[in-house]
Amino acid sequence: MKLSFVETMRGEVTDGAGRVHPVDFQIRTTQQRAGHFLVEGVVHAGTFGDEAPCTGTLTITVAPPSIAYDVRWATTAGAFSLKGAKSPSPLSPLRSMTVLPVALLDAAGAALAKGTMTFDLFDLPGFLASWLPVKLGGRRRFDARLAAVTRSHLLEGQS
Amino acid sequence: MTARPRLASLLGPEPTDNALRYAGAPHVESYFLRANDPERPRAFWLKQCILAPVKGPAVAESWFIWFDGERNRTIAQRHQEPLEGARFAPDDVLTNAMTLRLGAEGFVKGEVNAPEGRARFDLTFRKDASPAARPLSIFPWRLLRSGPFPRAKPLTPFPFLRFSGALELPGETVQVKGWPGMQGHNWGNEHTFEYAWGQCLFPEADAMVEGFSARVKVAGRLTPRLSALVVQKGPRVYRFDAIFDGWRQRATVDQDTWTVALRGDDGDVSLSMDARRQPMVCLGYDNPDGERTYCFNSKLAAVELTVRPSDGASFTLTSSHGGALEFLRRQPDPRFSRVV
Repeated sequence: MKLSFVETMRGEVTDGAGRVHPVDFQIRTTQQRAGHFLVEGVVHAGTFGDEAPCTGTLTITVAPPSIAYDVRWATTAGAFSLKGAKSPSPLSPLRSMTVLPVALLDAAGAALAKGTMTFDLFDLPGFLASWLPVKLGGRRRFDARLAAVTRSHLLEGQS
Repeated sequence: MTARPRLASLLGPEPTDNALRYAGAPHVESYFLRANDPERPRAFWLKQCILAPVKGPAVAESWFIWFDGERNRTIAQRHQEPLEGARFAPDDVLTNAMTLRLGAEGFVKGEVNAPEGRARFDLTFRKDASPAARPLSIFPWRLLRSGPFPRAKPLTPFPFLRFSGALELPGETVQVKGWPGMQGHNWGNEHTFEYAWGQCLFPEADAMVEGFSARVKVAGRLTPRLSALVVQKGPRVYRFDAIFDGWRQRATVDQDTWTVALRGDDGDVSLSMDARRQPMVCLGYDNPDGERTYCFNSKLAAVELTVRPSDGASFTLTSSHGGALEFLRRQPDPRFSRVV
């Protein structure tokens, strides 16, 4: 059985001019093979895409311990990605599993901004429930949100 | 009799939204109306209130306030009379200054003599057909509405009314034709320690928002700022009312601005209200124990509301001068030479 879960990360990135940009994404990951997940969801990144559907990958490795995110999206402002990795450590399990250093990159891979995103422990019950093979309220709301944002994004692209 | 909420009030059917809660001192209670000119930065605010002090006889207070952003002026007056001569009956509130019929179809008329001159008002109102007009309680539980905590209770029986009629003001007559507005009802045995409260209608979007950030006293100690917000848009209601969840609340209250961002099961919301460039009044709100608090209010605040529903696409609503923004503070503000 393929594993799947829904996760939300929120944070800020700072661009070269010192401007701070709130960023967040809510993603559903679907396992493709051991340690490798495909990602789809919704990202908010202010001037880098106020609200857009996103895709990408999440890769988990044991040696070295790493959970790497590569979240990509495209808007009329351009194509962007958020890349970063958590490094789980038994010395600081909570922080290492909830804090994600990220870089916001343009289509060519150049860093536009850097910062950190965090997993809110208030989201933990919903996160754990999202691993279940049944669609509870959180999964259903995520599906509805992704569908609405994708539809809105398509309509914006047509206008 | 006492107005102090008793646990017994949690049993049995909940009183109707506009039912009078007054049953003796100490008590404050207010029925209020406000509406905004949809085209121009102008608005009125009318209140019928009870103040039942610990010492002394209870009084009825009628308030009229006019906000004119084009002329940067306000007209404001409080009329006070003994409560025993007034009538606060179900749906009818009568004082010598103002007659108010509450309900989905009601009217308000009267006159006051303000320092700026005489102001007369004769207005009718009816509930808007929008689903966003359904009654609203920011408090999520009956325990908060009827129990002993918090001491002040807000309800919005009619969040979206349409007003028609005329206002005769010093130097002008204002025709009111379908102005969007609302009717609220507050009561308690004292005013909240301090708060920012805001409400805004977005008629074009079939939507409204109302919320607060407040600090209250519990066992003599002040709580951190507690916030809640409710957005009604068409048939949907987005509630951000986990009042005691400070972890997911960010509120900033400045002199004439209020911003708040909340998260909850319904998604994320951010609200910004700004009355810095609009006329504002300072009203003296007396508590039953005799302590005065100061209410700073503008009905012409600029508003920006963004909702990111957990199950849908984001939307942002703005209003250039349609926001009711009120601050209650413990200290007067030297910018206001007159406390109404």
